[in-house]
Amino acid sequence: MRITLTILLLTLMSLTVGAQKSDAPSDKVGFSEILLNKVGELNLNYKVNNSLISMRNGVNITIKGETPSENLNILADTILFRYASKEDTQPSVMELSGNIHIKSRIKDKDLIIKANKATINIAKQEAEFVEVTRVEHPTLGSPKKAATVFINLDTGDLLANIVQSLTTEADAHTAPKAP
Amino acid sequence: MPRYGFILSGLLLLPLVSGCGTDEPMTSPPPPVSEAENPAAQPAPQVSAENMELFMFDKNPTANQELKPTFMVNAALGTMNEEGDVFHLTQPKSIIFTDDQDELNLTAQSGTFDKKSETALLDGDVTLTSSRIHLGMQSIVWDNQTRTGHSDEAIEFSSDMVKLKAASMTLEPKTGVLVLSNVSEGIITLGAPN
Repeated sequence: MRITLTILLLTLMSLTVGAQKSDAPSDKVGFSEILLNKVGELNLNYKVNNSLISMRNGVNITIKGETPSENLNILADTILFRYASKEDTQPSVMELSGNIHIKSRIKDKDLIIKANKATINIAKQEAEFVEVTRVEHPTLGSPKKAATVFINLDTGDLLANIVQSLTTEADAHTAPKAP
Repeated sequence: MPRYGFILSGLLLLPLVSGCGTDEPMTSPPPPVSEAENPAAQPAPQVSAENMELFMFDKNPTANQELKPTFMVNAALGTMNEEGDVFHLTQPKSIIFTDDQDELNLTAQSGTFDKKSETALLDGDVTLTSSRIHLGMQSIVWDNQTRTGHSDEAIEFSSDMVKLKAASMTLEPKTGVLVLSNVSEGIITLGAPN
């Protein structure tokens, strides 16, 4: 019963980390380039403006920030690119799926997220992770399992709907036990 | 002497134009060969021509559509085999034609044009360029039946937005779809001009 209540409370709790902007160092994560470390299959269409279609069969990329510490390293099975309009050459949204593993630094602290689905809005510089099996950041205390994690990549704000506190790596793959 | 032996003298001076994929050959039929000129025991000489031009066509053009080439190669030197269906090419320059006039231009050190299978292999320092993309690779095979280009050699691709290295690629010029496999390194520039 106590466990159920704890999980329920944690589920309802939204944790905001560093909602207010600090003076220095800058929290802004500006995207300039995507480095392709390893991509199983890259699909393009050079005849249309929306040329970048998808990355499949295992993706390892790094979205470069303004400084190396702001780089966002992404592992995923698949990434689909979406565009705001047919005229745009720049994708506005990246849809990630399967075995997502994110490494970055938020508020000058290491951030690790493992999830099954994610959306990175390049235009708005926002990222939302769904079915998060593990989120690690010093401000969260111990690693957590979360229903969703939202990150404002511009300000570094992080919002997590936590469902479970994890103590070990093995916990990340264990469903909450029924009372 | 096989009948193509007679083409040799003409080909040495004139460019050869071959209508691959059509029932109407674009070459003139060779003149009749006399027995004296055609000793069976004599090995057939290879038929070569400078500035050789070869074409592949759309086999199934839509109604009322005139026959259009889909692939063209111009070689500094071309040599035809005994059967007359395979041509070995030196310094070939090719064009892949598409309906939207966005041609793909290819250059290579050597190549092979196979009339029977409707394929062409371009080999050695191959470059493929269009108005939007540039690819460099060791070799590429053009399949005129599927209208696809394929390479399993190391690929270097670049466009306004993307630069990368890949292990293989498949290109469909009609749609513009390009699939690059096993990308080992590369960069996508965000904020490239719209």
